[in-house]
Amino acid sequence: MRYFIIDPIDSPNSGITKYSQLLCGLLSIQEGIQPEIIGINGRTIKEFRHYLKEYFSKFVNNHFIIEVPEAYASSVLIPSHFIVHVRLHLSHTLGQYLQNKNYDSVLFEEEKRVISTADFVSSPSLSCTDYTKFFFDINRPFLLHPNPFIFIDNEFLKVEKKGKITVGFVGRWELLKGINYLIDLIEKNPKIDFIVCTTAQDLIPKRKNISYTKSAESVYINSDILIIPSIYETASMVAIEAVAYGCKVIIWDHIGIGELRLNSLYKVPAFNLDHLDLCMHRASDKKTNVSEFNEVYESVSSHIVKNIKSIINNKPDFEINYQLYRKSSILDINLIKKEFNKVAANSSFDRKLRKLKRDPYLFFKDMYLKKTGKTYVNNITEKASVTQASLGTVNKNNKSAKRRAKLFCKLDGDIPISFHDYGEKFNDMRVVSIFNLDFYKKYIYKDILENIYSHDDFWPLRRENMGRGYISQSVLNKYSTTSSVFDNCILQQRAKLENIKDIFLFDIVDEPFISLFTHSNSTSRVNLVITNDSLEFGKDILEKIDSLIIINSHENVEKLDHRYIRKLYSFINTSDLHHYIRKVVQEGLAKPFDILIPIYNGYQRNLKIEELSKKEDLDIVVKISKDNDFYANITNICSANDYYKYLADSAEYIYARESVYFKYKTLCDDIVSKEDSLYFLKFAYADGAYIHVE
Amino acid sequence: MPTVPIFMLNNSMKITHVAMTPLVGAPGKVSRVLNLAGFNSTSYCFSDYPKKSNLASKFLADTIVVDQNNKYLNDAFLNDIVTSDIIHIHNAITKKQLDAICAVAPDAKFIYQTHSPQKEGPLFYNHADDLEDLVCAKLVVAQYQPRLYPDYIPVPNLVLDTPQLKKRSENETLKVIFSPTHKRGGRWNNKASKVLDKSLDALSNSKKIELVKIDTPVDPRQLMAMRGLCDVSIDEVVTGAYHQVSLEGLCAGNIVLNSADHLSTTMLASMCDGQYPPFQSVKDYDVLECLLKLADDVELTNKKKIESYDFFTNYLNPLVLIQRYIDVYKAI
Repeated sequence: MRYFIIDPIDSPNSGITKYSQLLCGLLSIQEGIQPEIIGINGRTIKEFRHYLKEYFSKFVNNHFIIEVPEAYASSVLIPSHFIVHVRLHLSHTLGQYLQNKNYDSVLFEEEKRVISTADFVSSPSLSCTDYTKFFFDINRPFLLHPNPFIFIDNEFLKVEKKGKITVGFVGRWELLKGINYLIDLIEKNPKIDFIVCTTAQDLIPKRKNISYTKSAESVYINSDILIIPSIYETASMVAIEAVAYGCKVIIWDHIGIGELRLNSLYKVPAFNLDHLDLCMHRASDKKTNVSEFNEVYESVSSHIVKNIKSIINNKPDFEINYQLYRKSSILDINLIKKEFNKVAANSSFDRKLRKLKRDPYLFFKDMYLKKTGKTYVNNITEKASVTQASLGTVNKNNKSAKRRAKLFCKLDGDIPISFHDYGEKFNDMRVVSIFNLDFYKKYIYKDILENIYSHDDFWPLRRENMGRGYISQSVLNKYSTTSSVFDNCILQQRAKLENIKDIFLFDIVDEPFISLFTHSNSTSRVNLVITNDSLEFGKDILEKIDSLIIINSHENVEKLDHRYIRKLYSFINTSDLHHYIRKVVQEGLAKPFDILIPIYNGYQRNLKIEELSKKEDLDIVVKISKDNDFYANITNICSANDYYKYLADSAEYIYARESVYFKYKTLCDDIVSKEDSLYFLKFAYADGAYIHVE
Repeated sequence: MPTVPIFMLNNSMKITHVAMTPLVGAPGKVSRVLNLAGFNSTSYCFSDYPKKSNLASKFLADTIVVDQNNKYLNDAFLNDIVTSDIIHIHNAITKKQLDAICAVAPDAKFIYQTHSPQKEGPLFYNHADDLEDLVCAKLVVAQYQPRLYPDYIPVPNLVLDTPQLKKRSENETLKVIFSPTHKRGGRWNNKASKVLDKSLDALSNSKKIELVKIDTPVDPRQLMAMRGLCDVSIDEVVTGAYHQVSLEGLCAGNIVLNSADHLSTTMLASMCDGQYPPFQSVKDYDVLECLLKLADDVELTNKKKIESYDFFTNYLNPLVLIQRYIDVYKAI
């Protein structure tokens, strides 16, 4: 039977790639199994997913197994009728979670789906199983078998050395790999020689007792002891390789490979440097038993083959093989997270120093941006989580989360109208809330603001991203006409409003000022929030604003004329208001798929509409009924209002993009008859929608 | 097909057009045709375009710039205002200027006409709000603008050049003229499109078309002469509107490419006895295909050129269209 092994990394430094190669080697000598590796081969993960989907869709039957790592969910598009065996290696999002980093919630869902829907899931260690179940909230049986071992004819490899002991380290120069412990250990033991094989030679501290090599094999051969101070590993290919070469290996006792019964592995309590140091000295006195490895190699290989065959025969054996595995307790996942946090905090200076060494230009550029408050986003996953409008994750340890965005405006007294410019970066989702200063001073918005800031999984509403502004009542009273406000706000200041997507005006109902925000550009959305029960406002304001969020107990809420309101939400209590604010912002974000949906009639499938849907610049489609005499009335058109009336009267159906529907939700929801569509068309035309008339 | 009305000469009505800038000659043209129709009309603006814009002095053929330092010009303006029956304000003037006009012409009737969109330059907001109690009628150019001023009366922009038709001969390369006047952005002011530029460059480089691209403003008469030698005029193809270029293209017997939507073309049709203009409605991504088709077919090119010429001569004669304005003047 064919056995496909998927490698979404395909890099010589990757554990997944090494695993794939070793498994392929092991299975290739088994009778009846034809292993085959499919590597990512330079594609992006998205392309790779589609490639796999197309590749396997060509097969007529499903008489084969696809083994795929959970990391990056590369099998997410493979049709469900194929037999998929997911091998746990430490998912990308779980890795990010352990390191207290933000992770992409979309990828989280995809990885979860891949693990949940797989026909079989296997894990290299009990700790990996446990953490995966906890993180993804999955409860299903997992097979347990180690990663395949590398076979070395190790009897003649070891170099005879006298006197000094040599300690080796193989791994990427990252906090994840525990380099901080390694550095401490090197400083503590100046008389011990350390030999290091890592990704970045220039980052290794310059000391007499450290030597660098590009070859991991050279480390294994020339070291007596190899230390693996990684904060967490599901298994460790380096440990296996080192043992195979006859090295004694020291690991923390919670590392996955430590669950195997291997005498050459020395385990010390997690993150205890003194124990690590002590163990290093003691282990140097002990003899290496290379023949032990050969015995374990045989039993591990046969156990892997047994489990793979059980998958092929659809008779998985979930029993733990205690001849191979020890009964060991699993470290609390929070302790790992805590350690990452501690380590990351301790080494921020080192990180900055490394950045300065690596790229001085970038170092000073970023420092300047940070000092001037122009950096807002820590990593790209934040943006990804926003565009998908997802629930995302909360980074409780993000120090910057406590910082507020720059003040947008404070208009009080006789100062000219001016605004802060947040720049073009992220201007498609920047939100600013503007308060009546007199009300603000009474602390009535304090809780509302804190509730809004609590959405720190949502980029636009985070404390460090959402702008605030204040306008005093005396300034609001000062301008009686739109032209007077515009005359007092120069073009350069008004241009700054273009970098804001959503403006929320809290209890500001002065029409000239609202016009300043609604008429300075055609891209910003202006939303009016009414929290005061008795605040009066006119119809003209409703026609100008994009949405109205009003307290349900407002005296005029029942009298509001829906024909003049693009979008209306009402809330019962101010403690609920933040949900509506998020809803309004979220509904206005760019949509990856923005299809035409029926607004009036046209509920049957329409191929013409499907074709028009592909034209991205088209917002609304109106079909004129053949029975109607629209064209006979053209000469009677004396204004655009006449045009709207004739168009609405003759409409056979109306379609609008989903984004358009959300923009005019209240108007669209109220369309029952042709006449009702008149108001929707009127607003859509005035706002610049591209309307295709059939 | 409408016939040219016979106007009564020495019509006693006096109309003065006032604007801040020449507005690319639009008020001046209306004023000139009103004079041809027997009315007494003058067009004034308070300042010409700035010199650095390259538009300075190019649109003053029928408009006088009021010069505060020139006593005689200033007096002429004031005299016209004082004796006007109707003061026709275009786009926007300052509050100070409006107050000064009102002070000397308390009995005149005011008409407001807008030429520009809202939420972008030069107007940004509806300036008629400041004139609410003053104006008797509100007009809007019958292009895309009525959607922004839904209760205003649409009136046409005029083209005063002589219609021309030069047929494309066999084996002659298709000549395409594209003359964006500015590079500003905005929902309605935008004229730029990278897709269009690439399409035109590709066609031009492959010798399928001969491209006449004018990036800096030239004298309108020179531009019209050049247009007359071309086969295709490209207006902007991104916003869904059509502009003066499209009307001039029809006058020059050109095939006109623009992205005019149903409302824009219906507004023009409402000025033209219900007849829709022969615009080739394309978006920037359609231009390549449309021009390729025309480049390979001389017969089709000439057929469409004749359609443009016929439409202009039949429906866009300024002496016919001016009746729209006269109807408004007489109604107030």
